[in-house]
Amino acid sequence: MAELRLEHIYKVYPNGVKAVSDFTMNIKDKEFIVFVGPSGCGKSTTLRMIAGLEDISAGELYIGDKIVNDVEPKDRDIAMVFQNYALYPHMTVYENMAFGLQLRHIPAEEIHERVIWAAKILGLTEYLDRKPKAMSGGQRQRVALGRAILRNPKVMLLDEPLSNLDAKLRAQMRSEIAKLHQDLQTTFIYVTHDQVEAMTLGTRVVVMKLGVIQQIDTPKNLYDFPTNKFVAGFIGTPQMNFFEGYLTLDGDKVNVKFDYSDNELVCNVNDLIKVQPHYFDGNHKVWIGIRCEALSVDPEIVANSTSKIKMKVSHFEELGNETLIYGDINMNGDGFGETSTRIIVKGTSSYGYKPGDIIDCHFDVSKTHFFDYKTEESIVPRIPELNVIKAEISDGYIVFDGLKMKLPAIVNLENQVGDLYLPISAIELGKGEYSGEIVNIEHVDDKLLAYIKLNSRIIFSLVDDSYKVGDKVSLNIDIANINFKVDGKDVIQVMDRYNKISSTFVNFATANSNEKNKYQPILNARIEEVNNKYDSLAKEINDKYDALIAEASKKDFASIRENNNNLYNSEKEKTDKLLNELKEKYTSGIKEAKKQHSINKKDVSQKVKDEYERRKKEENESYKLFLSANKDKDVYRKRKAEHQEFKENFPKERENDLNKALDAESLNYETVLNSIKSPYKREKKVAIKNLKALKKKIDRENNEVSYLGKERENELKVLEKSKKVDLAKAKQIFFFKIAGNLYQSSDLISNKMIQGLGTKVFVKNFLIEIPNDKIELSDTGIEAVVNGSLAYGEHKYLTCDVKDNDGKTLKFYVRSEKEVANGTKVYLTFNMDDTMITETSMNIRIY
Amino acid sequence: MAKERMRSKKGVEFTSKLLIYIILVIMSIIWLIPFVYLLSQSFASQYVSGNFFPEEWTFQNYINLFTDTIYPFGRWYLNTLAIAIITAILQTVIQLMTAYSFSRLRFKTRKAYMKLILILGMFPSFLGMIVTYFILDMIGLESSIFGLILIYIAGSGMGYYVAKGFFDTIPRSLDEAAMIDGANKNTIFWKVILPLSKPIVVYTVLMSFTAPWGDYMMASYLAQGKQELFNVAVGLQQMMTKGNDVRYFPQFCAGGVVVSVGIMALFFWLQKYYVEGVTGGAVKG
Repeated sequence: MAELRLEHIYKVYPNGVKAVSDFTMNIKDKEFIVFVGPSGCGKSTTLRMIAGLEDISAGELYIGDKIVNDVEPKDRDIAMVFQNYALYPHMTVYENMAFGLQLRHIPAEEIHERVIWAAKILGLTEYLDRKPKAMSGGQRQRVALGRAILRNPKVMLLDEPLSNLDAKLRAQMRSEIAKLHQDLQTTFIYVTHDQVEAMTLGTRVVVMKLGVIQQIDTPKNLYDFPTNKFVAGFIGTPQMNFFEGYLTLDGDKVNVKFDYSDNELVCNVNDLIKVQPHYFDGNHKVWIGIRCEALSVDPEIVANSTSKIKMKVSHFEELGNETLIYGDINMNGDGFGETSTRIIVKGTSSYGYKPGDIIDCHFDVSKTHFFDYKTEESIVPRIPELNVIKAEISDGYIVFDGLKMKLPAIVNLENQVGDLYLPISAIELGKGEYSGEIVNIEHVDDKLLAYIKLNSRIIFSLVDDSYKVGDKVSLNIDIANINFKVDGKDVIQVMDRYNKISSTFVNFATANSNEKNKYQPILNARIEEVNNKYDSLAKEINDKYDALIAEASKKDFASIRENNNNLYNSEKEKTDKLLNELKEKYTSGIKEAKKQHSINKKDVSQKVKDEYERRKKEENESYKLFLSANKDKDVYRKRKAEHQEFKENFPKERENDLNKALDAESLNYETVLNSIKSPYKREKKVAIKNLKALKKKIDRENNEVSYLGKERENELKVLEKSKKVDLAKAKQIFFFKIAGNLYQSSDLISNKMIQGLGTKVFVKNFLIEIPNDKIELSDTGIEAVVNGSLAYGEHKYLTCDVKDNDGKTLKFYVRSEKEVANGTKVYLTFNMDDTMITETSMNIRIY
Repeated sequence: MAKERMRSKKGVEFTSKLLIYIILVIMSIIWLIPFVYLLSQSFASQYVSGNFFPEEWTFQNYINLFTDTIYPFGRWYLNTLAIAIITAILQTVIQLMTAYSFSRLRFKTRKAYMKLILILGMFPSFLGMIVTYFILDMIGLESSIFGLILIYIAGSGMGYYVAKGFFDTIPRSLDEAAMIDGANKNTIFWKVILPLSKPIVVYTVLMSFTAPWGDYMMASYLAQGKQELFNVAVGLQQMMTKGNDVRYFPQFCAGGVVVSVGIMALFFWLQKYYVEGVTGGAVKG
């Protein structure tokens, strides 16, 4: 019933192990989120941090709008289901489910109602009086689920709930959990290492590895558009095939060469249009990934295919409805080991091939994934951030694909040939001097990606839904955002949007004493504000009290008291009677059950004894018969051994069966006892509680004046307490020391800093990144010396030198429309809220 | 051939078993003789040197035991019972709470405390006896059974080790589930962990009951020879000194039997809780 926000969450253990790094995610209401990854990837740790069972080292966790980092698990309004169920073994199913509500002092009638409701949903109604040990694994997990849904939590957390169940039960419970999510309409977060569960259950899936999020996406997108090799390999069975290779662009054809193999493919560049262009140079090694269903060795398909590779068949895995054909694209490979030449092809049968055959395999290039060899990141972005186009600089212009773009006057470059890097953010549609035609529009999540054909080149841009395929559009290019590279070296460079400078964190006392009490007024104002707020609140309480007292003094307490006492006495009588009845019913019930139990016990053991008596008799008779009829010595020996065996094992078997039968009966007896005991206890409790509540109410009515006084006292006390807290907060003012100057930190940032690092915050260094368009020239602030100005397209920038705390000189860009002569001293101010703050030694992003 | 080998194997098994049983029987006889002797002599009308079983059987010793004015055994028995019961209750609670804290809470000095307790436990308790007496003297408890109780329960936390081992086997996820259900540490301990720990509770109760029940050293030291402060062990020993060992021997034996009956009663009462597998069904299985 709530949104969940995880912001830059870290978990660092005391021994320095980073279990979770920079986990940032928004979870919408009613979503079913699955965390998946191999063991030790931090998925459970993250879940436990959400539950409050682990401390959060840095970052914030919001449930709804509230930061819950320091909130106790019980107050977070979450419920959790554990892998090992974690049921209380000494309590019945009913008590297990009711325990949480009882601790929250919810009225017994309501608890009863809720337990019955949950039991109905989960099909546990008949088992309410059993104890967990008398139930099967699936039932136990259902009880655990029941315990969780009972409280109607904001978030349901499930920590590998199905991994202790056998395969069949798991599939069944999986669909039950899916149904539960539909019925309850609550946010679910589910941890599993099983990708089938992840794919079938999640509305979104978070793939993690070594504490780092690899990808957050819908199951379909994870499968179709993995962002790196790990996700590609982790999702999907059998695993995606990975080969090493190189891509070379040759005109409008791309040559795909496989490493460790003679195979080569030639395909149209349009099939690989989104691959980042610099990988086409034939020098960048890439991983070529393709799922086994995009391959085929079906002779009919292969015959019509234009892109084929050769493989040597090694073995087959028959799965019934389909066949996996294993092979190797290296003719010397064996196809068994997980090498970068092994290939798995999905087919409907083995098509008559035999191990050792060298066959053609259809290879669908448009369904191929490419990853960088070193970083293993996908090089086929869903939205290509960059368009890279061959271009040349000639006489102050950049010329590409028949278009000419004028460079600003200050960029004074020789004529040369290179690559133009055009980020899609630099392209503005609807205005400008260039034009192109939209040839395709693709939906990527909630965005629309347009393929715009200039003269011969296609570039990408984001569009809104007013554009259609076939439209002619005009476009503008923001020259401040482009790069021009020659042989990999920047000739024209995008200006850094952020100026980086180091800083330390200082508390109020230090700052104030350094600056000769300059900050005292700020502190005083903050304290004053808190005082005023609480003074008015206290006045409200006192006013309310006066009004209530005035009203109460008009009442006739003598008659009220008499009425009340009469009422109470009659109620008490009724309750006592009810209690007696209940007690009687209970004792007789127990007596009856005991009697029945002893009868049952006798019956059961008699039954077992009879059965064994019968078997013994049968065996003896058959043996006697055999003795009289048989003449063969060997057969006799065998039969005799058999009979001996029977005689030896007979008492043991009987004992075993007897114990089993008696155990079953005592379990049954216990259940019966519980079914008498629990309603008795429940009803008794309700009756007593009602009486007590009445007594309390009467007491208050009888002595209203003194109660009002007490209530006022309590309210004032609570107020005083929260005032103290607020005052302490108001006194906490912190500063960042940047370039020798102090900048007041906002409460939000201070909280994050302290939360993340504790007292260590004062000895650490922080990297502050200030956007260049958020800096203003002013009379105070960081001292800087202007040493140049840039006129980039629409905006003008100053470059200045700034000395940081250690006296190191840094280069700053400041967006400013003012003209300032070189060598002038200026002062820069900015707002801390606009910056980004990172702790440098552990690289923790704080704000 | 195979059959022959089997038979010989059975033969070896039989002889080895026979041997083991013979040894066990001999050991148990040796072990039981003092008890049987004590029991039989408690019914003897008088002590006769050299007789294992009495010549004349009588119940008079038991009656004398509780009516004798010189040796107020009844008073001693009540003393001992009071001391043992109070000690058992307090010690069990303290010991289990200590064990639970060491098992579940992670505080900074946890390991240091555990080691410290281990080392302290290596010193024999009588080392501190004199000091203890002076301290009790200072607070005015030097000759009172409450002083004795204080001594017994003072170091209760030190016996946490077995219980901690037991708590360690209870899955932590139970604590966590209870935490999420809204329980605080106190509730978890009393309502979730203790009901699951019956065997260890019983064990702790028995241990902390038997120690003061049979204690002689501390009890005699603190009693300072005052008969009304004796416990049974000190009292019975007193009975056998002062040169009247022959006359009071049957009565002493009767006292011994009565003392062990107390312990036995407690054991039989608690035995039914002393079953394994109480955690069945808590977690997977």
